[in-house]
Amino acid sequence: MIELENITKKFFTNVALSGIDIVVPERQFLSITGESGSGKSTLLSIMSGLDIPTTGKVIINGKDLSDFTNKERAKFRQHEIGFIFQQFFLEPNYTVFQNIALPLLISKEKKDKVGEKVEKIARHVGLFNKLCCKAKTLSGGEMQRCCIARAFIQNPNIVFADEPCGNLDTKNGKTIMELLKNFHQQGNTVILVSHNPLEFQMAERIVTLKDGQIISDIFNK
Amino acid sequence: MFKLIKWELKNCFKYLSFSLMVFILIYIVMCETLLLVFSVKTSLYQNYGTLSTSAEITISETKKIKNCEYYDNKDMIFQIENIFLTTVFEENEYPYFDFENFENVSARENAYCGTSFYYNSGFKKFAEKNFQIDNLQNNSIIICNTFAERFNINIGSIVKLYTFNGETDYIVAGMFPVDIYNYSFIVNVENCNIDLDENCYFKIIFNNFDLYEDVNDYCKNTYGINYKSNDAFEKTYQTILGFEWTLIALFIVLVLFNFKIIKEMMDYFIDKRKNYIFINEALGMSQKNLILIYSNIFSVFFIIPLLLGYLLSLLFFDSLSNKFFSIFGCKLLLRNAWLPPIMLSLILICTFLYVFYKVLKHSKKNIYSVLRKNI
Repeated sequence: MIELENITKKFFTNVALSGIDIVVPERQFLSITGESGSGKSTLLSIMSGLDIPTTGKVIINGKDLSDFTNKERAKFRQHEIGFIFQQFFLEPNYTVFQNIALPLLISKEKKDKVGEKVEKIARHVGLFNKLCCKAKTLSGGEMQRCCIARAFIQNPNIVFADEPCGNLDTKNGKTIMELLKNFHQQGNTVILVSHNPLEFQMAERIVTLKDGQIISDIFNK
Repeated sequence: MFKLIKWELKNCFKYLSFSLMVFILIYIVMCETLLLVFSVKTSLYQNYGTLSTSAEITISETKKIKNCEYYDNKDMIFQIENIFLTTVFEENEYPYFDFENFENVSARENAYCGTSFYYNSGFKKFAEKNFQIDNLQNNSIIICNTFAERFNINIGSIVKLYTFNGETDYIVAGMFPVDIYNYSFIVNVENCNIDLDENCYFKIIFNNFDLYEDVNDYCKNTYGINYKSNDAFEKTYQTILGFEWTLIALFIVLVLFNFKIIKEMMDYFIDKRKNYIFINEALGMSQKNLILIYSNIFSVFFIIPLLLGYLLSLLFFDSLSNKFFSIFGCKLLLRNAWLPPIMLSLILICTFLYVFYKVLKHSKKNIYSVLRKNI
């Protein structure tokens, strides 16, 4: 469960977020939406522990992130959180296998288990045949599927997806959203940032931001 | 972690341009050359003394000598100021020699042979401590080049002499390996050679590198020293000068190369790898592990080749410089030449560590800039 208490974030004099209170229960598919500059990406970075709020508390599974040291924060991200970015952040000269295996190597997973896990998730996202290909040779949709595989390989409790279909066409976007939904159904909490109605409406709950404040928080039927 | 390092290294080799790789290769070769030149130069410097500089003091104003208050009997005391001698000798390295028929040595013809030599208290203490000589006399005899060559006496050799009155004495050949700042020697005026202009001149022997322009007597009269040319001396001196210019040129080029390499490496680590740093940070890699990866890359690129090259140059150095010295008939004192290159390589490694620190510092800043930009 993620709890945000009175979160404020300022960049010099600009107020990016103001008085955000939000509780995300386990296994929820939440989407954060809003216009450009509304603060949704900032909110996501604070929720994931990549950034620190100016004031307020972020409590994940009962642990206050502000009490964590940098090392603890890194360890926390390693085991509890997965990321999917619009820009993919894949290593172009690494193979698909290497890109997917990166989180496992960071968390010092045993060698024999790495191959097994990578192959399993690659099959799931439809990249098994591309495991030996370099990331730079993949299409946009394949790249994002590779990112999804990388985000879910550690089986994290929470996955943050920042505009995952922003660089993709409608067909590939739909595939990616289906994959996210699929992973959510397997028991993962998914927090999606998107301004595309076709994407955010697939979530169970939709939070809308405007000028750094929550203007609506609705449950999607 | 080993696997990550391996991947990143491979990646690094692919990313970096071929020209940069050639640059780094040349850079390393240059560093090694620098070390080699430095080593040879140091060794030459250390061996320079064995070549012995022959010099003459010409005293044309004989009256001046006689007017000097310190002129006592027939001896005149000269003084060379601010000499700093660095040659170091070890016990057992220089054997004792016995010379029973000193008076028959042909080199006696040279004025300085048999000239009294004055030890100062600093040297006496040094000699007593290091050579276990209890009865070191306050004055002894300067030996000349030909004499030294004939009996194979190296600079610093302890020589046991049987003097004319039947007493024994010890001398140390050449100038002494101690910090003597004011070095004195006594010349017997009666033994001086007379040149065509009827000037009195003495030959003196300098066994260390520095060339002194003049000497003073105790009345502050200054006498110029005329150095006699010597083939081996000239060649070595010119070589040392040549090496000095080479060193300066190499240093300048190295500094320029440094700028280029630092810029390229900074570009690579800070700009091209910012996504890598960012994603690793996001995936939970600690700063420590990032440092580990980077330090390994830096090691592979700089420190390992540098150290390996350094070891190789030392291996080659022995045969190379021995060959070089065999031309001049010098004995190589390799041990003395080791220290400066070690220090130089340490300086180079420290430079790279500094660059590495800078890159890491920038990387951390970059993580936040990527965050601001992309999330």
